[in-house]
Amino acid sequence: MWPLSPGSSRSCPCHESSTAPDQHGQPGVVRVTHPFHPWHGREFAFVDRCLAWDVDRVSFLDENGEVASLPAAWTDIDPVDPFVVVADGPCPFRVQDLLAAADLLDALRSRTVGKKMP
Amino acid sequence: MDPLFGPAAKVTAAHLARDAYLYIRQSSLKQVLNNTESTVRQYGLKERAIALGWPADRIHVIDTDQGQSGASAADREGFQRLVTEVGMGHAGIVLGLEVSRLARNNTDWHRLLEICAMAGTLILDEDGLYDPCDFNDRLLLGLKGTMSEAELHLLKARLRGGQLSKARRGELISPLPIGLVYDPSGKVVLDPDTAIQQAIRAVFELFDATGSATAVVKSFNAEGLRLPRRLAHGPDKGKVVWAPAQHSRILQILHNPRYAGAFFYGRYQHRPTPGTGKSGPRLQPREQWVAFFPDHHPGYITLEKYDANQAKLAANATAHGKDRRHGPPREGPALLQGIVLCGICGRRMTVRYHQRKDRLEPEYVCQAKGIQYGSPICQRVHGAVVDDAVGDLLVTALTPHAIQAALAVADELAARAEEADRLRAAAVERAQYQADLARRRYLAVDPDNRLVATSLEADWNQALRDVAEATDTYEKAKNTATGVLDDAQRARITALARDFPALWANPDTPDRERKRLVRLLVTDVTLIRAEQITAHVRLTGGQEHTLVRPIPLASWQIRQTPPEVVAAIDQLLDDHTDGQIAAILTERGHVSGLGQALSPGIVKHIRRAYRLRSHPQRLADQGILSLREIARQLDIGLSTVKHWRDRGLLTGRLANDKGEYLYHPPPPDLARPRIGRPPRPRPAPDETPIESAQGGAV
Repeated sequence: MWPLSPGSSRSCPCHESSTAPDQHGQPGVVRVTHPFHPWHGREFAFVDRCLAWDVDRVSFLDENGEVASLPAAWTDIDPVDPFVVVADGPCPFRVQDLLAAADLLDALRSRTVGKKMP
Repeated sequence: MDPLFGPAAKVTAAHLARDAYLYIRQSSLKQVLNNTESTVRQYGLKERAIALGWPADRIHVIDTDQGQSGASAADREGFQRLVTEVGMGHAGIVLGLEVSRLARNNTDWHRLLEICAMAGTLILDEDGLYDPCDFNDRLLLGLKGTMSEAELHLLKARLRGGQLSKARRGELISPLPIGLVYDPSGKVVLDPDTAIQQAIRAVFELFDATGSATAVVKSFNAEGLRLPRRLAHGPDKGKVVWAPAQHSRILQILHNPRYAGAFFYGRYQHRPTPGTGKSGPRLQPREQWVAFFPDHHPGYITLEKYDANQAKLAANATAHGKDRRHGPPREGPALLQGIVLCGICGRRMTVRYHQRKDRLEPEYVCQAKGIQYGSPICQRVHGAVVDDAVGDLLVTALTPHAIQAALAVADELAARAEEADRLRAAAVERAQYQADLARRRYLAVDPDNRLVATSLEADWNQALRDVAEATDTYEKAKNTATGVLDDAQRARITALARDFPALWANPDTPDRERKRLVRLLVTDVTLIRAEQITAHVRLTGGQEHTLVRPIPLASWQIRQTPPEVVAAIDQLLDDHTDGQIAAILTERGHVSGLGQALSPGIVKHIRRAYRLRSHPQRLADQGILSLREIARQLDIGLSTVKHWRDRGLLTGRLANDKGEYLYHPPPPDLARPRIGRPPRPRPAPDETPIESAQGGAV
């Protein structure tokens, strides 16, 4: 394992030396955690993790022995967002997303005002 | 060394007042994993900074660019951060093992030098300490940068020179597609496995027959054929597996010149994309390939056939459109573009638009599997219904209460971060105490007692390593901790509860902005279409909502006559003609499915469409006779029947809007009036009866 800073976004390089099995509690197994995916709760043999079209995807062997892949966020390969863990249900939105939405609204409002100005 | 004249003389109090930045990089992940000595040496530079007077807690280590080449600054976040810190005057010194670690590109290097000179930042490498404001140092640094770039060129030339040379001769050993293998002498031959050969030949034959890659997939899967594939990764690397044909695999086979017996190299070239600066593969025209040797080895098709196939595929691609990639929010009104999933197969759904008069109607389609395996699409869902439901959900969910809950969670996270920070700081203090204790024990021991001294020295070293580890953990955790929100941020978030619904309801809000908002607040939406449309919505805070909406009516259903109108027509037909029914229903306020006033023609159309028995048929069911039947029964002429009806001898009911009547059966004691001349005797029964007014008006 090479040292990476905590804020690094390059934590999933597309190489054979994936960090996934080490980070995962049970090496070689990946479980689908997306609650509405047809494969929810099923476990597969981990193969690889890489970026495909800018999407962080996890490859695994399905029951037919064929390689399939899913977005990493739909699996348990990464820990859950601390905000989601602490919120535990009653909070629909994250603060950072609300801040970004407020930024977007401000930008939109200023654009609208700019258009109306002669 | 005398500090007044040595390297340390360049370090001033102004430099020491600012922080030190240690930049660490190795060009590839293999180097990071295998050449660990270089990494250790790079981290060891921290000691040099400490020796020059910087405290350990103000030396920042930037090691986010591990595994990145120094040829460009475009993909190196760490280098960009370093340049930013220097430009903002935060850096008193920049440390790198060699100049080549910082940049192998003269442009990036001289930019960094210029910024260092402007900000008064020192540069330190393994050879010495440099002040970019000093002419001699600057000259030397410039020369080092030039040599660093030249070294990269030489490395490339040396490493790739042989590869390119072999490729130009057509002798480079490169991975072969399935169906081709190297024989023991290194020549490319067809795979000796006849099953693999047959499968590859079948692909080309089916493409000849159908002219389409999709049709090849459909034919393969319809006949239950499977396609071989050699695993390129994983524990079973190199093993051949057989799987159902996929569209992408078929395209790979059809596009690969190797199957035409040709050797090629450099079909794709990696060039930086204008704007982003990131490089990506780009298909080059054949004239610009590094090497292309037709008839290099046995193939499955000829080169002429390969070229014809490429032309056919290009024509097909134009027809189907090339823009299949998932992209950023665009102008289309489909609100959930890019974040909608199929609840049946779990794949991402795409968007189709349908022109409806003056607007676009979105539809979410699960067609990825259909394209890959040539099968029918999984499901399609009416977009406007789902979009409206999700929009309503967001407006409903973004309440002041929800915002307060989010702020409370953020506060709790911040509080926990402070608590964790205190714990981590205590761990550093404990480690430091142990290190001090070990140091005192080591200094107190008798130097002649070497065994004890060695043991205590090892303990001291271990304690120092523990201190370094605890400090490192503390710094990293501190950097990732969520900050506390200030009042302005809280006010902006709180205002969202008021602003968001207003913006959402505003028809002038562009669709693109709506989609951006949705992507910020919604993780994804899973759709299932059965008897109703079910949408499972995951919000970014972790909440899950399930929305159920009825399937919208099809266009013919929208135009369908209301059931109550059909029932009323059915009831009125017992006693009324089409025209009378139209008048009665219009008076009651009923209209057609299209909203038109009901006319006799519309009533007739509805009667026929719903197979309702007509008014004359219903009268006939009651035993009422037609004009001809009663004339035959009474043995009189048709006009006489009408005449008798006018005189009240016969009774009837209006049968249709033409004024035609049906007649009640005559009573047995009907008194026949004498009209005009007495009737002549009737002809014999075996003669053919002659009816009057044959075909005439009734």
